[in-house]
Amino acid sequence: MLIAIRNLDAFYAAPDRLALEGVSISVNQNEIVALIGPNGAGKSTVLKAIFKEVQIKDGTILFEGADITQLSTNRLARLGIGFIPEGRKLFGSLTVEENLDMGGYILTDPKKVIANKEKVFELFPVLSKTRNKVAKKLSGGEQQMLAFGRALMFNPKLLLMDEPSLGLAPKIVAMIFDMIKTINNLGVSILLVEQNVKKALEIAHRAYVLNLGRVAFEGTPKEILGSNDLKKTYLGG
Amino acid sequence: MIAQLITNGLLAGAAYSLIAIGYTMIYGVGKLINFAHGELYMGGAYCFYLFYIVLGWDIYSSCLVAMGTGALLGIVLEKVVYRPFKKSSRLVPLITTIGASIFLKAMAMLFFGVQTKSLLKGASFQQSFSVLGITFTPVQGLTVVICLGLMLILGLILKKTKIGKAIRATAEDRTSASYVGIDTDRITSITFAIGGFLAAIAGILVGYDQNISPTMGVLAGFKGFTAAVLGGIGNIPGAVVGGFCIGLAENIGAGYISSAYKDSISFIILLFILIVKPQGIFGEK
Ligand SMILES: Nc1ncnc2c1ncn2[C@@H]1O[C@H](COP(=O)(O)OP(=O)(O)O)[C@@H](O)[C@H]1O
Ligand SMILES: [Mg+2]
Repeated sequence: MLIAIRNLDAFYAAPDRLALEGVSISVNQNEIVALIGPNGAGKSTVLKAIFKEVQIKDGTILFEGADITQLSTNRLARLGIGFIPEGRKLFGSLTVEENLDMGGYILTDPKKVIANKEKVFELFPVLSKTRNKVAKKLSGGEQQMLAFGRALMFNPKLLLMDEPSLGLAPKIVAMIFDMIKTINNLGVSILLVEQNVKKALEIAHRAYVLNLGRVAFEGTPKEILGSNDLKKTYLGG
Repeated sequence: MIAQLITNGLLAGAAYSLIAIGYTMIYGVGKLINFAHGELYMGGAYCFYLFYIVLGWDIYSSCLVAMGTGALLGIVLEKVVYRPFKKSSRLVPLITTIGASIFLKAMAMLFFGVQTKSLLKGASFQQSFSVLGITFTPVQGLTVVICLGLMLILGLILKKTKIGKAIRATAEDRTSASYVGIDTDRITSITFAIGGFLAAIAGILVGYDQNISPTMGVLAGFKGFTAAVLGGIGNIPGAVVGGFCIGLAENIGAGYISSAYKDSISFIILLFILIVKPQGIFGEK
């Protein structure tokens, strides 16, 4: 198991108002795991809990067997965990290339940074063409690729993605899901939060359905799509 | 006369720019107005006074020590009055920096007395120059050269080095910066150090030209702050332009209206920007 979240209780403001309750989720080596569920279910909160942006009341998070429950946010990249948050959160006034440089911040060898940039440019040729443009001037699709590229710069083992297809045109959405598969094929495990359930289940190996801060179901995409109950309750028919 | 006024404005503006850069960078990275920034300027000048005049060191070593102390004061300030409160309401670190400002002024008064002090050892260095009918002292000329040089170096650091890019990334989005592994506390500390370093240099240069007092940082800090707001808080080139604008405005204003209004001009400018264009000249919103 690459990452294992065990019986996690997490909250934002008040400890008696839990946003997550007894959540257990794991991702194995080379897996794409989808995290789905209605709006406000706590999907983003799971990712934020790993990155210490919510308060953890109880439970543990293990990464490659080591306890990272209390580890501060900026230490996680060094372990090999990357986070592409909702809305991408690029460094808007930095150029594409500078964003990638910052993606490789933890690399101590400048040659490695250059080599990884070349790999990212190969994967996303459009970033090579726009390398001197400031990030906020890119289109939505280009920004999402930059977000992928920035997160790939330090050779992560696990990538957390929060709604990467949100707000993008249908044609680009298809491309984004292809990209996620490509990234996975490079050996990167992925924990994917998505509103676009159909697409997410197409590429996922396993999935968790979250509801009201609890795991309501866990299984393969086939099992979820095969259950009329689940489909009706959480996936809108 | 206008040529002389413009020269005076540029000379004053150079120092304001150095102070304004500190305000704007610290705001960018920490989302905090450091109200003790004027005291880093004053602290640099007094440290120079201590080593150069009181202890009789040579001018270069005294300068180096004072600049280093400015940076160190910045770091201590960040540790003591910013870091413990960064998760609190944004009002809290604002108030703690005001407290630090009062404390530092009081310390300077306690150790050095309230009266004005001169940083001059021999008068020869203050012989005025006259070029094309414009009069200025060597230190004033040096101030502009040093300020422009420092701005150029800072610009290069921010644009080209890894730390510089990390400072810009942290200012842009602190959370994302920590996702990629940037230790944003360390970056904030470095930014305070840069701010303190630049303020100390401005304090030494202006102090050498105009004498020093424990309250010298109050007006200078206020003008630097106005310059930073004028240029758009968080925007570094804006702070430089803002600094020169304030210097020019107050000197030209003093020449054509009355020198009695010199200091009030920056107050009026600040009020005016806050009402008309709170995001400043280059600020985005
Ligand atoms: N910053 C926040 N402060 C307080 N409550 C929050 C915050 N963000 C989310 N929540 C609450 O936590 C719950 C889960 O939210 P979230 O994880 O964003 O849901 P999802 O991503 O599944 O749509 C919701 O009830 C939401 O209102
Ligand atoms: Mg969400």
